[in-house]
Amino acid sequence: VNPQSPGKVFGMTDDLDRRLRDLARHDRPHPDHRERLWSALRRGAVSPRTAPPLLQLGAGAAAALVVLLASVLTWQDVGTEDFSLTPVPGSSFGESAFTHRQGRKWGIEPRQGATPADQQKRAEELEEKVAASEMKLLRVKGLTLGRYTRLTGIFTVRTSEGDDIVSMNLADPLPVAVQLSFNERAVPFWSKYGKQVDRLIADGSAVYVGETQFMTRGRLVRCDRWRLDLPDLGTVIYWSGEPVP
Amino acid sequence: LTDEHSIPESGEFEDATQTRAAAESRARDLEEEHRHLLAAQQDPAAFRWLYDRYYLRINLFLRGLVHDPALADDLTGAVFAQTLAALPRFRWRGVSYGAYLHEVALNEARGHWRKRSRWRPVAEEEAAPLADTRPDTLSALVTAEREQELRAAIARLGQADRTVLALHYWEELAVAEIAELLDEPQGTIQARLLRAREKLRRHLRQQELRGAHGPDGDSVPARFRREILRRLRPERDAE
Repeated sequence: VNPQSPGKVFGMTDDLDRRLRDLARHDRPHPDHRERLWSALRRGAVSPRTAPPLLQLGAGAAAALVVLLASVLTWQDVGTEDFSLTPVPGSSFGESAFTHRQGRKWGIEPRQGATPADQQKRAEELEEKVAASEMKLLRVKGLTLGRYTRLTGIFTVRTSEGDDIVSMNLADPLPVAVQLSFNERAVPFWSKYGKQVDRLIADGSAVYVGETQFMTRGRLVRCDRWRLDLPDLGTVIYWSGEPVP
Repeated sequence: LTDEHSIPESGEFEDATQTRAAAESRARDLEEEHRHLLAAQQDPAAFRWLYDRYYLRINLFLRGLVHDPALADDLTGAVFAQTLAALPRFRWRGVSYGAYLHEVALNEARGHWRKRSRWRPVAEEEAAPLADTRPDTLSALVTAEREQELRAAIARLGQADRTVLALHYWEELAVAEIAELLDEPQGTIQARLLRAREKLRRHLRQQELRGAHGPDGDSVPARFRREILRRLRPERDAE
């Protein structure tokens, strides 16, 4: 060992040594990563890749999982590229509730046993409330497929019959590199893969990619992202987050 | 009585004093780690001290192992998530917690190498942190090319060689520190470093021979020229 420099082995100050040192010197984590990772660890948002058995999960984490699974299972699909609601007169709601008119799409949670007339009335009221921005952002979910990312906001809307839920795409200016696009393959994502995504995250098969924050509709939103493999779709990035209080 | 061989020279006195001081400092360090570990087992928030102490080292170690910044960040998260989950069951054995974290990190990297064939890159995500980092000068292009060559050569090394390079160059650990961490004699580490570098040099030489004419018969300058033209094209179109 070189006594002048205890870390250096004799004969190792040649070009290769310099190249290795240069390469390593440029290979540093982003300054924010330490804090972001710590915050995600504290929130339990990072899973060990070899997940502990379900029984070892904390009660809180298990409860959150159940809530998440339930919410994903009840969702049919997502929204619109702006915040206008354009229901098709006379249409029923539910899986067929997504309207395509001038590229706009939106969705609401179907209600069991409701008649088309009830649904129409509900839609009209929701439309009014949303037009008046009487809605509150609850969660954000999203998906990156290839070069495209689509983020969906899930909102509560207060109506005469209590709180209702509407989901729509977030098309406000997002982080620069997030390209919003209507990728055909993303449309059936939640109904087809929602349950599977949660399972992959719970059993540690999904890799935590990191946290992203962005502004939408004047609110700061924090999203966690996971990379996971899905049948048919291949590798996707799943986004899930909430507005920062 | 004054056998000169029995009286250490002043330099040796200094060495002995330094060695003792270093040993005492290490013992104090270990004691402090142990104290924080016990606190973290009671309250996970107290793990922050150990996290701060080892975050950068583990991240750099993983960068040196996997040569993919996003993946290294992922794996760093996985290492700390796993150690946090295992915290209640962790038994202190009087060795640095860092040694345990490095072992977990190495396991995570091994897990990745086993599964690597399953992963396909996702263009958008791999571009994180979302900035355009394309080099815009010839020298930057050459640097990037040389870095790529070096990473490719490192990727051909075995796990033991990569480990020792990652510890020495990325974590910037001295041979003695690597020896302590891996619980190996210093001579072994020194030899392993030299051997790893020799292999690396050999791989680079082979790559150079193959790369002078690319797979489609292009010379390196021709490939640079083509790359620069490709990158200039959008601007020309815009004009």
